[in-house]
Amino acid sequence: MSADKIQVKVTRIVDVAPKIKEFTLVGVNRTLPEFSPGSHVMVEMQGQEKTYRNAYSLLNDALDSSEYRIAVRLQDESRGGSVYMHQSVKEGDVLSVTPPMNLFAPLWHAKKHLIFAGGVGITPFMSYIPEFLRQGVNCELHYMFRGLQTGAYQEVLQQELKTTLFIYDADKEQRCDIKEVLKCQPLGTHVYICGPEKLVEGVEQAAIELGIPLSVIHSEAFAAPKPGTPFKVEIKSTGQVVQVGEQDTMLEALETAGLAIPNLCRAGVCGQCSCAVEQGDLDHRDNYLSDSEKSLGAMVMPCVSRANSERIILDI
Amino acid sequence: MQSEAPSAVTSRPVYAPIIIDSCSDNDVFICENLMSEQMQSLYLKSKCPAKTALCITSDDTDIAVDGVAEKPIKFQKISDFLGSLPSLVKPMTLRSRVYLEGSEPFMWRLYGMFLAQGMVAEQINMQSPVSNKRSLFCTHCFSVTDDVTTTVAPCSGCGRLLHVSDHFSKRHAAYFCYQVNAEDPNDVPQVQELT
Repeated sequence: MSADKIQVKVTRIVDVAPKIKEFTLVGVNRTLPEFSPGSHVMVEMQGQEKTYRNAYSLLNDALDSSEYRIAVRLQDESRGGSVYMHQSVKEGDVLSVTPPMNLFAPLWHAKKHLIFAGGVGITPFMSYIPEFLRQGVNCELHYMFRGLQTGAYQEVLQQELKTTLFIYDADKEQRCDIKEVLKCQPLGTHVYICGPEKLVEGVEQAAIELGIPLSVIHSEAFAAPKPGTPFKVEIKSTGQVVQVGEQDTMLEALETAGLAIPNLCRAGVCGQCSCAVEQGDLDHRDNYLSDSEKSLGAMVMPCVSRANSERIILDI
Repeated sequence: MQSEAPSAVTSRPVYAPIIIDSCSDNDVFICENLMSEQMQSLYLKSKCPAKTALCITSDDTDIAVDGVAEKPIKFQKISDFLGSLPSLVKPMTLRSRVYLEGSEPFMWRLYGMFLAQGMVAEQINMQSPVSNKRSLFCTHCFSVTDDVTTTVAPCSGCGRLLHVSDHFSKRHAAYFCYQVNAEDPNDVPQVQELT
């Protein structure tokens, strides 16, 4: 990890939904850095064969940084990180985390905050809401989940938001009509989405169809990098060739090979790990590069993106 | 002394042709003084269920012009407009649009007012300015001088002779200007018409 690591002890693990566990972390012989609503930490997990690094939003009220709380969903297509957190991490264990980073802060000047959360995508908003309530700002949450798997924190959200919380449990055939929700939002509303790609795309598409400017739509795609076909990365400056396995990200493979690539979010959002590309057909999966930059093929975000060709050459 | 040395920073607004957004639920057309035929045509093209056309005049203009105004265009003095702005925007949503016509300072001042009401830039459309009048922001005394059509021009606040740059401030609805003859006040450069 690029940022200095912090040793934290797991003091409590609780089930908050059938497939979501909440972990409480406290600093080992140190106080934890303060954070702002929407922040996340990168948790480093030392597995038997590899080191997992996953980003998790901080759930607790940002006014209290005496501990960090994160929630981990057991992913159906886990690359290993969520399985490790669910099956290997026990109370009393020590983990490494980065200091908090915030790539999904709310727009504080908004007159109203409209939130769409899907499943474990509720997590970044858990730190938003106490601050919205303190500021007395208008906030409306549409929370979609499958009750047999996720749907954590409904009670606390109900207490906090009361009539501005709308719950949709797909396992009870409850659906959110996103277009209807967006249709009459007053001026000054900013819209936040966290959840599966399908939810983000659904809200964005509804906004386009309604003529709502995309500059008021903000999203955090929390999905872990997806696996893909193995390929090779050649380092132009040294000639070193690194194999990227089906389940590895390019960034993980480069790090394992001893190459230090600056990085922050490891989710294709922040642009820190950007690498120049000398040659190769790229499969861009990030939200950082523009469409024209992607089609140019001169840069790649190795944290999530992969190669379509068998070999690419990075100019690093 | 050459006053026309090109500014290293150019941020002059560019005005694309206006296309009426068919998704809008509330269109507001605002013009400075009279509405052009082009703007009237845009107003007629709008099939929006709620639409308003306003011509804004200065406070010292005789509002009797209201009598000759083509309905449903309404005339309003600027002070009355400012007072009624909150009720004008109250029914507007993220889907609504504003269309502006007039001088550049007029349109950008309204732009700032609508942003303060919660609108975002994509919701505000502007015609090409109807005149070459600029407002100047003096970087020495922070005064704004209106209705300037030449560079160089005197600052209404401190009297300094100002070079008019192409660096436009959306916040101030004015162009940044600096003293053109700071080293030798007797050096008075040639005055040129702004485009």
